[in-house]
Amino acid sequence: MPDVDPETELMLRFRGGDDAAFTEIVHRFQGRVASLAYRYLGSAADAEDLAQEVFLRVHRARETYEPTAKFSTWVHRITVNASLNLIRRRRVRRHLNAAMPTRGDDGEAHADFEDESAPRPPDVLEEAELADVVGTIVDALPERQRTAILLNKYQALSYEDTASAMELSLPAVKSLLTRARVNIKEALLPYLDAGKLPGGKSKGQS
Amino acid sequence: MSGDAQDEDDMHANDDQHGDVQHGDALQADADGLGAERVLDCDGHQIPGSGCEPLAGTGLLAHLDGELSAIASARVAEHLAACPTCAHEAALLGVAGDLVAALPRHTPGADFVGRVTDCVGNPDPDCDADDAAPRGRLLRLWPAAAAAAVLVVAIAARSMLDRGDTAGGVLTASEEREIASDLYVLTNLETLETVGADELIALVEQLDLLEGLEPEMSGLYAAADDGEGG
Repeated sequence: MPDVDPETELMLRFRGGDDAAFTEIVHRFQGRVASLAYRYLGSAADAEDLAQEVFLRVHRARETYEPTAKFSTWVHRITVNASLNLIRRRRVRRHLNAAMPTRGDDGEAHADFEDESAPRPPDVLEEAELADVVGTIVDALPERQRTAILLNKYQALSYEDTASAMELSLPAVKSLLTRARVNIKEALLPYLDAGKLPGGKSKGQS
Repeated sequence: MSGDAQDEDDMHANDDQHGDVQHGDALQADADGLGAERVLDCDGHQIPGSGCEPLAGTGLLAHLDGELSAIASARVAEHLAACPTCAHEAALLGVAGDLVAALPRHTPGADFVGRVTDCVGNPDPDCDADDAAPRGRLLRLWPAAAAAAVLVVAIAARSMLDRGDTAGGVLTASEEREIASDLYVLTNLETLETVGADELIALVEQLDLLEGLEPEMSGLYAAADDGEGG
């Protein structure tokens, strides 16, 4: 096989009839797929369910897979799209549920989409609190900025692979990443400037 | 990936490409091999009128992310060494990236691989992670109810949108109750009495109606999100 990365080669082996290659794909990608889904869905159980769906889609694509892009970027694309689709369905459902009266509970059908209150900086953040703050900031980004920064920094994809996974041009992805990074930095300023990050990760001392 | 929210992104993308801070353009130009002198524009805080604008362009990020050539990266590093303002900005952006990279991860349990391989080719609905209500059942059982239910959802969505527009995109509690009471009348039709919201959603999805409604509804959500995030 000319010039394909090892993970793409795995998928090609699977396409060629090697079932063990599929198991190896699941084994190698489960953490990446479930973690990315977890960032979108916020629940470990949901993330695993979605990861399972992603791998079943990979399996169904066995006959038709063509290595036009890296296999790993394709898997990331499936994961992002499946996560966003699920979120959209839930949003609509949540809205309709809020608009539907709870039977036997007159007038108490309230929307629940105001739960995420803006984080307020405490004096010093514990690691877990910091992760919550950063996670909330990332969640609040416009959808494509969030996806771009998650693929690039959280999943450690290169700019080029991020662009491929998002089916965008390289300049478009660079632009998204710039805005995402600046937005995150701005949102973190209350924490960064007050030196509230644990582990000595306060603002750059230059 | 598609959706109306992206239009806004695209608009900003154009802004960025044409109006990014001067340092960003300078560094990008440098990254493209156009020469080092423009990189040094802000050396010594000499940009007229603005002092040393913080570096926020893709050139700086590309440097931080290891996406620049060695030569271009060395030039950025040289500039950062001479420019405390830009170095400070670079440090903040670096921390922002590091914190995203360090967000908690989820690794499935040891049985996950087995679960997936067991599900391969298995029509068991437990193997379908789609959390939508079971598809097809309602349509098969109550075609008339199904058609009416879709109408209800369409009316509800339209109603929410209309009210959302007049209220600046955010429904007040009383508006929600009003919509809910309208819905209650409609859903109390005899044939719809047992149809819950989940089933209505499933029906809408089944009939691809959601695709038509969603862009407008997404706009409503986006407006609500903006209001909350402000």
